[in-house]
Amino acid sequence: MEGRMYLAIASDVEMRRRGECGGVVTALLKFLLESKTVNAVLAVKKRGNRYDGVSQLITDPEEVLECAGSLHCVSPNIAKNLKNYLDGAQNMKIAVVCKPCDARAIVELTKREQVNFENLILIGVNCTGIFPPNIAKRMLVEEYGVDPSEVVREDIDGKNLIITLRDGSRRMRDLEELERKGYGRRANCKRCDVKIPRMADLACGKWGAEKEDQTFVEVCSERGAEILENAVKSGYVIVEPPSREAIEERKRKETEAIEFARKERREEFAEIEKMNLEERFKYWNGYLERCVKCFGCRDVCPICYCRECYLEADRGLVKPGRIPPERMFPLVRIAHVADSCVNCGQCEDACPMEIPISKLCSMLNQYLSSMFRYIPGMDPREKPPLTMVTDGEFSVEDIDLFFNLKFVSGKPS
Amino acid sequence: MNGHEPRIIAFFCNFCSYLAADMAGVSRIQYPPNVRIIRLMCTGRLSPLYILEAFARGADGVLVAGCHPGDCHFIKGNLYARRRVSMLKKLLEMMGIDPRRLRLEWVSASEGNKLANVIKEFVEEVRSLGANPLKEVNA
Amino acid sequence: MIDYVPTICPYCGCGCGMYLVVKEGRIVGVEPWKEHPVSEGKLCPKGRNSYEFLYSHDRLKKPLVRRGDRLVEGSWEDALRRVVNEFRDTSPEDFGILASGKTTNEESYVLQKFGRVVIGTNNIDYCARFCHATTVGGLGPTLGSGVMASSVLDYELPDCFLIAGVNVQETFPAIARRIKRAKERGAKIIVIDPRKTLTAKLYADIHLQLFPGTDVALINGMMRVILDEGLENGEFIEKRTKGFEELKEYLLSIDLKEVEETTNVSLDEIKKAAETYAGAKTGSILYDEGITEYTTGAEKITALADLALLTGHVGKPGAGVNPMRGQINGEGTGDMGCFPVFYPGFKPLTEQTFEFFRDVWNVESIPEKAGKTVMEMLEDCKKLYIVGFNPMVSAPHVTRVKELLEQKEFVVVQDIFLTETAALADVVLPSAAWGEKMGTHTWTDRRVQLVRKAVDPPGEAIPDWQIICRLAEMMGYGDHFEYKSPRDIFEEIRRCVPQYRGISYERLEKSSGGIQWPCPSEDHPGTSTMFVERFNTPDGFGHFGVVQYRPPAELPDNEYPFMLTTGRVIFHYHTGTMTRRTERLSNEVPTGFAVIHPENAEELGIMDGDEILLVSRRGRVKTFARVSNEVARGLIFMPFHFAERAANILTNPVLAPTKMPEFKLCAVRIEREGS
Repeated sequence: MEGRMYLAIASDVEMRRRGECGGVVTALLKFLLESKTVNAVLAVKKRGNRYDGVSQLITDPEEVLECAGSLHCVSPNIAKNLKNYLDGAQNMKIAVVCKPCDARAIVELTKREQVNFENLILIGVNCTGIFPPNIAKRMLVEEYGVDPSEVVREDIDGKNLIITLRDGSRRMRDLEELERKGYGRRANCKRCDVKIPRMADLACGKWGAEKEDQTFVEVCSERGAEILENAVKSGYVIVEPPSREAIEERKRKETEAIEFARKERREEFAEIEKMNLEERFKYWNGYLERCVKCFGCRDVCPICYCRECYLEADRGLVKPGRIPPERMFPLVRIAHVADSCVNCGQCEDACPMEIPISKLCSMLNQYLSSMFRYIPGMDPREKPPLTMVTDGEFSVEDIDLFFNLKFVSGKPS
Repeated sequence: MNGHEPRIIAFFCNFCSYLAADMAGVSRIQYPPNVRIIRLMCTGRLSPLYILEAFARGADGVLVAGCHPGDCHFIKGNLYARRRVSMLKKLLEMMGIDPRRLRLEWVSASEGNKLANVIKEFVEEVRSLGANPLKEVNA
Repeated sequence: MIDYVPTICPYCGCGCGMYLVVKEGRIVGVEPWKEHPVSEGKLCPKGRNSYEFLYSHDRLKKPLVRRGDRLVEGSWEDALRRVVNEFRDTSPEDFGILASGKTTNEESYVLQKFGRVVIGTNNIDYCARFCHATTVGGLGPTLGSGVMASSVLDYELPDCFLIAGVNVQETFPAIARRIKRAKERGAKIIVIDPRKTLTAKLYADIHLQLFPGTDVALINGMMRVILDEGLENGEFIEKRTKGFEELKEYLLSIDLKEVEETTNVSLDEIKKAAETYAGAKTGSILYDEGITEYTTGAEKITALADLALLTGHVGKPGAGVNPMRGQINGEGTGDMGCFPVFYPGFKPLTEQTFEFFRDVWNVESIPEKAGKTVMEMLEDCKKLYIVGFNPMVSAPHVTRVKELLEQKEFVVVQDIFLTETAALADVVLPSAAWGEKMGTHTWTDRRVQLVRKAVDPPGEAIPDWQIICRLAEMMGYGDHFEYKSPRDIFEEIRRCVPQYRGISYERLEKSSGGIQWPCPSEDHPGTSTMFVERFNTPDGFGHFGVVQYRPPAELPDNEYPFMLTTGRVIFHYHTGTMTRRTERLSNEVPTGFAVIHPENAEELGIMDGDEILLVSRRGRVKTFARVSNEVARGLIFMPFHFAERAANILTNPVLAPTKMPEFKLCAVRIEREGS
């Protein structure tokens, strides 16, 4: 049943109303709780308004409705919270609502045995980006002329950001233009090219939906197929096959979004690629010298999992008490994490001095991805490239088999 | 920059490159004194941390020498080393530190001459690159 | 199962929001609160580790009572009875209350009410005496109010900063971030500091590395340059100020060459700084201890106010003269009236005030005479009630403080740990800490925010306000202290403090980022920028003050040839009570050190890490040397967080007219071990 696609809606009218695009995710979560398939559901609940939210563990099926609706200004660290506060789901079955980056982070944590993948059901949701809450509020006031508390929904449609207000009216602006002005999505969201979470069990979103109140669901695993089937049988969700046009429309929208992201990424990285070594050193140093050693980037990174971190003051590797810390500090972190960076952007969110850590890490990750032909966060059975070797390598002498010296002279080749 | 003697840390493996260095010594093959050799049982033991620490503490260059692919005493330690060194070279390059400061070579136990040449060449290359820019920053 | 409790960091004056993650009654982590306008989901090292100290094994869990030379655990009944007996048997002049910059507004309010209603004394003061007493003296006459003029959020806006005597990168990281953003947009930054601090290194376009304490001469020099070059804001001076002619006359009489000599800053630099600041569209002055903690503190602040008035950089978002209060309730405890000369809401000692409070508090009489300040109480009062204050490490000349405390008839200390001060007390009362109680605090930009209860206090510790109310009840004033919750207390505060009138728990619970006072009514959004239309002076005008340079009290001489200045590092907070019990933070900087200039180190044969002895007229301290050129030749810097290497053994207790000790400068000599 993998790869099978459906147009779905929740059978419950209230869910359809409260939820996003037909309330399917909400319905699935309720089903999973009521059928006792899972012990709990981990979903994002807004706290007070649309701009603040925490990842809430829900055991009461009625509470699921409270988490309905997508929030585009909220980005709790779902994967790390799962590991830190919920024991990595070792002892309970949890259904997690996750964006592609959250799902990828969970996959990476699985590879490192930090979460129990068997106990997790990943309900993926498509994502075209999250807005930092304070910038979003400013943008709404200054660029849309609306009161942020009046907004009930945000949609990114192609290159446009459409806001729906409480009174039902809508306003639209060009997202590219807004982002050029400094508003817009988080930096890592702009460059993220994984829009549909196919590494989850089910991928749900509105691309390809033929009606307003409808979700397009792609089954991405056996488990996902089973869940959807049971949810339909138990009457929570109604499905129908999508038309060919719907499938193509979805593909078109996905491709468009990915191209937009890749263009952003190229432009962003080009700025650094065209610098020579000295300029690059100065560039990164200019940021790194502001570091105040809060360890925020390390604490929130889903890939960082060592129980005793090398960077701590009592390890003797980084001189204690100095800020900015020696360059060992960022270099060690990046060396450990870069091959598996999933571009979740939590590090940059956490940095009090706004060092573009996510840029550094995901840029390196991009090179490593092409060097090792490995994309992190896709398949729990894949091993990170520095922890494995292939048979073919035994017979190759080339010391620079993986390394590509494209940038030494500083000019693009 | 002028008159700056490069300081190089070398990580050699017990079964191949270290023996080659030994052989070079016994055969009185000359090579520059700028290299400080650290013996590991296998280059597979090389954590990227060691190399980064070497650079952070002021080494101008780091040389890693292990067995030829297929000859590793521990089967594939050298293959891990190759991957890690590639990753680090890319990291250095991205940060603005010349990746040529980090070099990987395959040297078997009998290749004492080759090792001496590699070292000579590497020292000259690192000399031409000047002092490690991290030294100033970490002061 | 997992609770996310939104609260605000317990450390500095920035007011960064965060979530405490509570699992099964225990705080297990800190999560970013990305929507909070001040923190934006970001925290400094102290903030990230903020809850760890709550679980330190040596938290006070039971009251302690002195028996001979030991403190023994006792029951609340015994301890409180002992306290009440002592309190009853004392005259108001002999009684002193040292209040806290870390208790909630509700607790500070109840404490000063206790002093005034139950004991009948105005001898109430708090640690602001050590940091911003001179601000009141400096900004009071000039601008009418010693509060931060702008909002933390607006510090992205100015195109020029004058950062005087504060190392924002380490002490106010959330504000440093805004300054950084402004700089990225092209703002020019002038730093006035005798040390090449991290702030100076990272942000300063112009670093005026002056001779310590000579700021008045420097600023007068800058103002003279501004007049000479016609850069003053004539329109602003005309419309909104008084006293310009006197200032102008004085400034035209000063000799710029003399200024150069006194301050050790070249005239060129002074000119550049003056031109940059005066020529900016929106200039902002940020200052803190490096300016205030001098006998001439009030004069320096007056000079800064003059500078701002001269150039019209007041009354715009981000602009103004901004004293940076560093404690989480440095502003709030003052607003609550923990001053010997002010009742809550800065009401002065006038009949109008007395009538008001007799009415609100429903008492026959309240004390009308001005009370004593911290150092005066330490010297003169026979009985002391010390709440959340550790003068044994934070007061100047701690050897004398120890003598004084040991001589007191009775000292009761209410705190969360057995601090160096609590160890000398007769009775120690364990209180609940941040995170274990609900309440409000008022952060540096007049921002009132709620801190929430995440977990229960350990053992028998209870919130400070409850302890104070119980004492009041046992002394027969129960019906004046009938509060069932901090919310009740806050409602009373709203009646007494006009600036808080429009703030309520309901409003605070719904807001993120709190409400900035003055907030006169419930539909008022709060005030982010002060002095937009008028100043707080009686006539609404800004008043220039003519101040002349006076040198600090103790300059180096042959016997003590070095200058010692004290300060902070990012990883620790004040006397280290909380941060030194946080593993991550104390691992970074486990103990004190003294920074010495490389030339001085060479002359004395001192290497980095050597143990040295610093000696002043007050005492001697053994510490480790750190050789760095961040200090000027002849200047030594010590962080004061470490009791065993206490910088305050050496510091000079000489007081400014507003009773602020001169922490920032005294004379020392260096001895090598064994010499």
